[in-house]
Amino acid sequence: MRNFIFPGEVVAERQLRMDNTYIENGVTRSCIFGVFDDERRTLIPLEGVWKPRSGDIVVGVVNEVTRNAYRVKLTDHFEGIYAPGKMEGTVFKVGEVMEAELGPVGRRPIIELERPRRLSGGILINVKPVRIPRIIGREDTMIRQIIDITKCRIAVGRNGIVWISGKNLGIAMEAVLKIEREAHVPGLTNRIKLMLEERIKENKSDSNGF
Amino acid sequence: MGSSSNKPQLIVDGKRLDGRDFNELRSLKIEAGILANANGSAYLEWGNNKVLAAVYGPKEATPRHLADTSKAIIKCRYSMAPFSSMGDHGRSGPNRRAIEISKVTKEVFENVVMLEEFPGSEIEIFIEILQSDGGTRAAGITAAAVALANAGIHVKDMVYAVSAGRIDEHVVIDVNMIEDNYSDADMPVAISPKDNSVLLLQMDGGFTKEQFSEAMKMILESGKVISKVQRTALERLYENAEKGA
Repeated sequence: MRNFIFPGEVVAERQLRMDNTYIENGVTRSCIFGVFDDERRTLIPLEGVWKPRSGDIVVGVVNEVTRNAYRVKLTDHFEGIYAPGKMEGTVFKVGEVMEAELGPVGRRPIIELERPRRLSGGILINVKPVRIPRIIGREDTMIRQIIDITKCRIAVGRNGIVWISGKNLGIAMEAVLKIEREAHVPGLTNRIKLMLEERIKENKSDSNGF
Repeated sequence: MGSSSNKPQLIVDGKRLDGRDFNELRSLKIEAGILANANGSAYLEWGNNKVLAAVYGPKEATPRHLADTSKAIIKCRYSMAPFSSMGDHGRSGPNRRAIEISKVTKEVFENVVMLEEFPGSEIEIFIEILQSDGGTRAAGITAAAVALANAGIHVKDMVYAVSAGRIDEHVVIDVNMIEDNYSDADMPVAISPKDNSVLLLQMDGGFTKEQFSEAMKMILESGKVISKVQRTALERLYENAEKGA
């Protein structure tokens, strides 16, 4: 049974270590608005902000180039910093889009980036960071499906930025936004598949007509 | 509170001027997530009050010297629109009253937002009163609590606020503008419903000990209704998406 859960509501009458909860007087309570699955004992946030973790893949825009590092805007609060080693030749310009992995995360809002990759062309869309796991899907099923059907290149950042490039980017974008809107509704993978196939078919018949 | 010499009759035949019982709230309606550019937002209609609340953040604290490296800071702005009042109730713009309400609202939320999770950042809460009819600080807090939950900011509880008042010897809940102006006492209170702890209590006028207890009882009772409306506002966001799917 899945139920809505609100900030302050009791998740368990005992102490449980779980994301998006806090413990007070031996009781575990939710600190977000989400859905609680009784059987799996999981709390899925419907609204939430991104909390960076080491190893997260992020997408961001280079907004400053200093003498020895690139500063990358990840969210309104967090900034990534990439300092290439002497042997590394990757050169970025201000405004370019980068996909990278987070290095160690401390308490500061500036996080070291590792293994950056330039993303040229395409578009960026902002989605709610709590929807990113759904956009990726269990074992990448959802994102694989979108890439396979639309033949787009897509990079999904845990920080809530999705980069899409390719001929059918409009269709891929529509799918990503639909997932963002309907992430909590069961049967989403199939609905997205149907939608994508339908749109691709429409696109083909349109281009045949002209 | 107005002077007792020109005090209108606020209770007629055991009912208040707008026909409500002493323990009856005005109609309350909340809609969440209505502003696309804010991280969280809510629109509230409470009787004739119309309030818009928006939340931004966590984001970089500015100016930088305000940033606290151990926790996030909250900035709050309560503001009345120039067209919001009838002139004799509140005033628009940043004045003494608005600064005071912004401060007490900020302190309410400092008690429930989990500030230590985002050190160095700031969370901004904006409350705009579009139309006022008494009890706007309570309405603002109630709307901002929904906006915070909508923004997904970690909070320990979804607070609500409501004001109680005293008209002669009668304790009443949710005072409107005319009652606010001429009643013998009014007392806005913000409550954290998980343990009914009081996060804000201001009082204009006076209550006896018994009247105060009665007022608190009424506030906690009406809080159940207010909390339910707050929750429904958030639920509705997702039920609509489900129908559209």
